[in-house]
Amino acid sequence: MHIPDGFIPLGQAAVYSAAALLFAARSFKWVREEFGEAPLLATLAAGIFAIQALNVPIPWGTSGHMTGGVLAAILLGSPWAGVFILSIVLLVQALFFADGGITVLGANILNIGVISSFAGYYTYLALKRRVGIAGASFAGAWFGLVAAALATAVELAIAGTFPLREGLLFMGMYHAVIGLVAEGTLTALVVTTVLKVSPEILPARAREVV
Amino acid sequence: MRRGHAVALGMVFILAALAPILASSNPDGLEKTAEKFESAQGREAELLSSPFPDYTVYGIEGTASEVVAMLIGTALVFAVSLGIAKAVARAG
Repeated sequence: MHIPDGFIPLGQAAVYSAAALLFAARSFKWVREEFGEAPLLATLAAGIFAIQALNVPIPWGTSGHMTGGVLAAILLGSPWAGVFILSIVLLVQALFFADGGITVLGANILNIGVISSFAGYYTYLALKRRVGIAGASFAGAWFGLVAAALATAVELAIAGTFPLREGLLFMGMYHAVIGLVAEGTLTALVVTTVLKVSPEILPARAREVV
Repeated sequence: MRRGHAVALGMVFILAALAPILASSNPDGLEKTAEKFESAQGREAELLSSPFPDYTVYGIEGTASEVVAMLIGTALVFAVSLGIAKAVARAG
């Protein structure tokens, strides 16, 4: 759901960029003060870049891919992990691959990095005790993706690019399905696999929260 | 880097190489939504000439081009993340 250049007027895009910059800066603070494991962050970032290229077909001749912010947040025990990693992944995609616009980089970071990671991670925390780690990971990742898609639809409605109601409807519908077949399933699979196979690669604090 | 990281990183590069071969080329949710609305037509602008447009490498044909682009991109994301995370951690 990377927004391309031209879909949001420059003035509005600047507002999103300023907000995204504040969140990205706060995620740097998280790395500095709470999480210094650079190789683990970098490995996760590379993995999220790779998985974002794996578009899964869904009905209506459409496709979608996992975005990964909620996965990072669950594995490392903080939504700021998702913000940090997605900020870098989206920056590289925009600069080197023309995947997501450069003027709308802030909007894409807000949606796919910030909103998705926070909505998804807190959904996961709220559900973990009741439905277990796999179910909560699935539900959190699904909700994070749908929340990001709806936020994108609202921004594009403000921009005059999409009509509000139909934009919300179609963005919500496509991403609800992508959330089931890609984001939710893969997040639950990776979280349960990492916990089973090598929980020791996770930092102690994340293991507690998981 | 611990052994777990090295194994995970190896798997990430395998995934990166396989993704272009396995991925669906259908439009994504946002592109498909944009197709429906008159108001979205003709807006998309390319402001940067990117070195790897559409995840391809100039001079290489077909799927191989996408595989190489993905391997370069994955290495790039790893290096940039590692560099920023280390610099940020040191600053504290």
